[in-house]
Amino acid sequence: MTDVALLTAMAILFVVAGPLLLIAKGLQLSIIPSLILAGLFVGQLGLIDEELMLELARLGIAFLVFSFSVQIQTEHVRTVTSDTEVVAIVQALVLGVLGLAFALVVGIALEYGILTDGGVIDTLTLEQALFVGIVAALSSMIVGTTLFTEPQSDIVHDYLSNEIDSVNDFLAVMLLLVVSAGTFALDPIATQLGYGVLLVGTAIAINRYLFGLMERLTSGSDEAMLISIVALLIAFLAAAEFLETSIVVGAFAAGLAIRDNPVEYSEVFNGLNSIQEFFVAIFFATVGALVTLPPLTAVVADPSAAIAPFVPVATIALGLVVLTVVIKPIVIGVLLVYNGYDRRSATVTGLNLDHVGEFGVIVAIEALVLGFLIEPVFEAIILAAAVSMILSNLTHTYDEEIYEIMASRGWLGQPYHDVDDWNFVPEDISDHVVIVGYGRHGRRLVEFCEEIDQPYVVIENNPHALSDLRAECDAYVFADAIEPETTDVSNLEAAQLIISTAESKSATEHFLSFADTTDVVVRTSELPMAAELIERGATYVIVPGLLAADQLTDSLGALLKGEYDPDELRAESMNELNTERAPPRSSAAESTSHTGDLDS
Amino acid sequence: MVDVGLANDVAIILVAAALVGVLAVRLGQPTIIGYILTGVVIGPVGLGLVEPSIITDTMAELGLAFLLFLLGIKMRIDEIRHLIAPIVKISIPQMIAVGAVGFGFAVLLPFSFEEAVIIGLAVVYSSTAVVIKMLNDKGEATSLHGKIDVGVLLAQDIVVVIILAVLAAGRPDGIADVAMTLGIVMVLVTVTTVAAIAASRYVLPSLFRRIADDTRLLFLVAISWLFLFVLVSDQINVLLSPIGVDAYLSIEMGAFLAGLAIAQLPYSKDLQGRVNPLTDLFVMVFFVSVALDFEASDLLAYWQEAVAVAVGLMIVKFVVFFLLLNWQRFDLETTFLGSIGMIQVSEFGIVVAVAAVESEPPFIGQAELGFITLVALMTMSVSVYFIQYNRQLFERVEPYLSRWEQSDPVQPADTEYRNHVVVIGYDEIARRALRILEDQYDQIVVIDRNVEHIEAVEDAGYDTLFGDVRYEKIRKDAGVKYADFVFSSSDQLETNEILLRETTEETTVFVEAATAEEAEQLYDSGAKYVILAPQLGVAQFIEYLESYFADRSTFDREIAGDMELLRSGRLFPDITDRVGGDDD
Repeated sequence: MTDVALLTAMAILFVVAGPLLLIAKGLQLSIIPSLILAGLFVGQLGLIDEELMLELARLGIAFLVFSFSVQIQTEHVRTVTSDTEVVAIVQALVLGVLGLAFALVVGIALEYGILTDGGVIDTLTLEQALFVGIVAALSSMIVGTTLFTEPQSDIVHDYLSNEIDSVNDFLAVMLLLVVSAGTFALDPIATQLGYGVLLVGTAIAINRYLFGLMERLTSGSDEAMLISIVALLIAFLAAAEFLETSIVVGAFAAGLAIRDNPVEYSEVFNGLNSIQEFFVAIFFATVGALVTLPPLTAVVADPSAAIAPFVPVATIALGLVVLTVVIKPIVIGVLLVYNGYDRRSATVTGLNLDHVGEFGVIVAIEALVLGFLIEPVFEAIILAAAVSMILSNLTHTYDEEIYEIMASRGWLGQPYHDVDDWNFVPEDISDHVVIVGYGRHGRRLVEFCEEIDQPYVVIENNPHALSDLRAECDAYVFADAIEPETTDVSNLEAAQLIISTAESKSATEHFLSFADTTDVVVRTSELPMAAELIERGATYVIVPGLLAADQLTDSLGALLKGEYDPDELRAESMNELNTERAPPRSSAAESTSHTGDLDS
Repeated sequence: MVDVGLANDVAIILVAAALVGVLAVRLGQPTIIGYILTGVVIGPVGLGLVEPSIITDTMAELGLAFLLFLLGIKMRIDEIRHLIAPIVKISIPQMIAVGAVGFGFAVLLPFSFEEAVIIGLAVVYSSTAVVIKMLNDKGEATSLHGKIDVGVLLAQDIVVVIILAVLAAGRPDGIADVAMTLGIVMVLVTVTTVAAIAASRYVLPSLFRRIADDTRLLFLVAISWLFLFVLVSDQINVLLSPIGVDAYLSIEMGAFLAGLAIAQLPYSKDLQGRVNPLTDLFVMVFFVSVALDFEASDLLAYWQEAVAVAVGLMIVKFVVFFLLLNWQRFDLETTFLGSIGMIQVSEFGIVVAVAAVESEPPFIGQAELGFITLVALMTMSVSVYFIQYNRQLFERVEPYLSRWEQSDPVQPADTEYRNHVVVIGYDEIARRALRILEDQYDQIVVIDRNVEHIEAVEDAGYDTLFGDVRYEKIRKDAGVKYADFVFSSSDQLETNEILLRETTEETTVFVEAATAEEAEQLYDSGAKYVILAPQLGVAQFIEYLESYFADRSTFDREIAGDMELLRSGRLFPDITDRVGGDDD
């Protein structure tokens, strides 16, 4: 209790981070860049004992990887790689190679003295360049998920970003394993892999045999369970340390040892979550604090001398930013369009993933700690991470606008596939219903139209739904709903009714522009938003809760009036469920016919 | 080059404490005992595996700070205002009496006059960490006796701060010197308190309202707020030294006030759940590290005297508290429970003793420090059992205490929900349900994690609770367990499963589900009715469509109600609902 220097450093970090977080909230920026900036700022004051902070920060890494691997088990393991996963892997490869090449070029420039005489970096070895490549390749989870504000993900570009993210996460963990192998030579990798397998094997054994014992021993005490799990994590970290492999491997294995039971142990998992958030915050702030900028006073006194040593770092950082913010979206976009996605979804997905991911930062810091990465390159990576995360926030917020600008200037070229090849619409269709989206709602609406012999056209842009569209729909257009070609082909202007089941702002706006001539039904889950949509001409606004409430009122009212016995209601509603079971999930793979008959 | 490994000490402490902690739970012992024992076993006294490091010290310090912060978050000023006067009247005589007795004991034993003074000063306080941790674990922190104990502990905390300031200033030159230090500390405490309360009135409400929807941001900004107070308290000396003032303020005090400021906001309940686990973790390190600082020889130098003093002090503390609480007209049970909790010597006693050792020249030696520490460790350990079984103990002794019964005791306020309705998540479905349910039930509480929703529901005149229902704290406060009707408009399977686990057969539970599979699972878990909102919604919409194609005017009539509601653009529109649906 005598030495509180560490406490003071932590306190200063958080005190500086607080206002930055508030500012970030005001500007709708995400949390991580603010934390890095707070660290960057405090780091320049020279108050922080880097080694001590790093010890705490590495707990943050451990918790991040740990919670990642706890979740792995619940997600069903897929054996077939989807097209998005291929896109993610190819994207990572391309960016990785580009990053590597760029770093090598910088290295050569340094060698020949073109860049600087500051002497901070003499040369860039292949190893250093490799890390630049890795960091350029990985964009991942946390930054991504906090950016997503839309609650639902039937929107194509949202689920695309999510999926590419999780592939990236997985790649990152694998890379960390390799990085921790100490060198890229083959022999140690084999040894490290052996240790890794050993740890994971132990973890699985614990999961199978010991975890149940742990549950019995803690006998329902959340505190004991929480602390046991933390201790288990720490034990694995210590084991990893002992085997001289990365703590990331230990944390990953520890996650596998825990049975994911978020219902029974909700308090425990909530607890882990809080602890994780605390240490992760310290982690990102510390990362920022490790960067040394040229001192401001020196810059003012003698700009050229002070900045010169910093030039190589800035060059690498700038290169990484360009790679992630400009090149990466282009690569992702091209790959997605090639796989049949429309230009808009492809572009917007690219714009959502244009940053250095936090797993990339973890790879960098592990490499630094293990001594493979020299400090200037590390600093460049961190700077690039902070800058690209902030820029990514901006591009995500204005993704549709950016798309419009690029499309209107003709930068995106023509749509990759001709709308004409991917649709089936009778030439003379008119007075028809246009159903936008072929998810759960869309399917039910199609059924209804077929029942009453009402002509319809479905518009959908998810390639996964294409085979279903072909098999099940009388008329469909597979394309981005907002493109003018789509409007022409579906003969939108002659339609009697447009029903949009997609809760996408740009699509909603687009359809409302036809409200003068046709009836337009759009969808939103925000009740206050509905008023605005009606104001702008919507014939009706689908607010899912509102519609369901109408039907619910009866059962609830009857129950409370005593017309129903609760058990009777339960039995009856369970019965109904059996007839309702048929409506499919929105999964694209299904092509069964549907028997949902709701006219009870 | 940065070169770090994971701190071995921390690893050993955490793993050992977890093992012993689990063992303690298994044997029905309080976890604190397990943690303290862990420290004794792995520390220099026992196996000598661990020595305190900067990291463990910092974590221990954080443990105390978080504990007090958490405590602060729980204190709603409206609920404790009436207790301030009795607490002042209890704590001052208590400290004088216990201090005098401690001094007396020490003088009787082979201690010098000066040592006896320090011992007297060190044994005055009861342990904040033990009492609050136990009260939290038992869910008694906000009971009447819990509030009294907490109040007295805080009063003692102020005194500790003063004593430490005096000791830090070295041997006082005279009474004027002491008075000066005392004055400065009182001024600082007052200023910080006023600043915290002012902030909770004028700054924090709008600030936190903006960020409350974002769980992570709320948590981090709250921690930043905590650290602001910690930093100021910790560095107050540095801050004020330019103007020639020698000041001292404890981190714990700052942390408590930071929490207190947040407690007055509607988001405090949500934060409690999030801060709690961090507190558990760090407090564990704190308890383990209490015993880490000592060599066995120092600790055990006066062990016989320590046992005698420990027993004597516990009895004296209980009697003093019992008489004072009784004097303040608290009922017998509160008096007993409030007194039995406070019988130990605080970790602050050790801190005071350490300051006395480090003072120049030292007031006491290592052996005397060991003596005080041993007394603290023993009394803390024993008192934990008294708190653990306080109610059972009370039932046993109640018949013998009847002459202390009050005729007109101070009454605690009872604000708990019973046989009520809990609505989770506000949306259109929930609104409709609220309108129907309010005819049948008097008490309805709505839980949501969205500021706008909470405000809209509050404006409509219902009780609200800001927070995530997946946190036990929130479910407890809403009394989910005792509800007659639970209505969840969240379609998250996990959330609904948790609710179904918490409720009994008697509770009618309506939950929402996104798919038929999930609905079936929820029926299996005991839901009375599962609202398949997407399906219900589509069904209703298709009914509208039928009319649309059959007869446009029917369609317009049917949607008129919806349209009126939608046009209002309000979250809680004040519109009479259509009666019933239009299906058969």
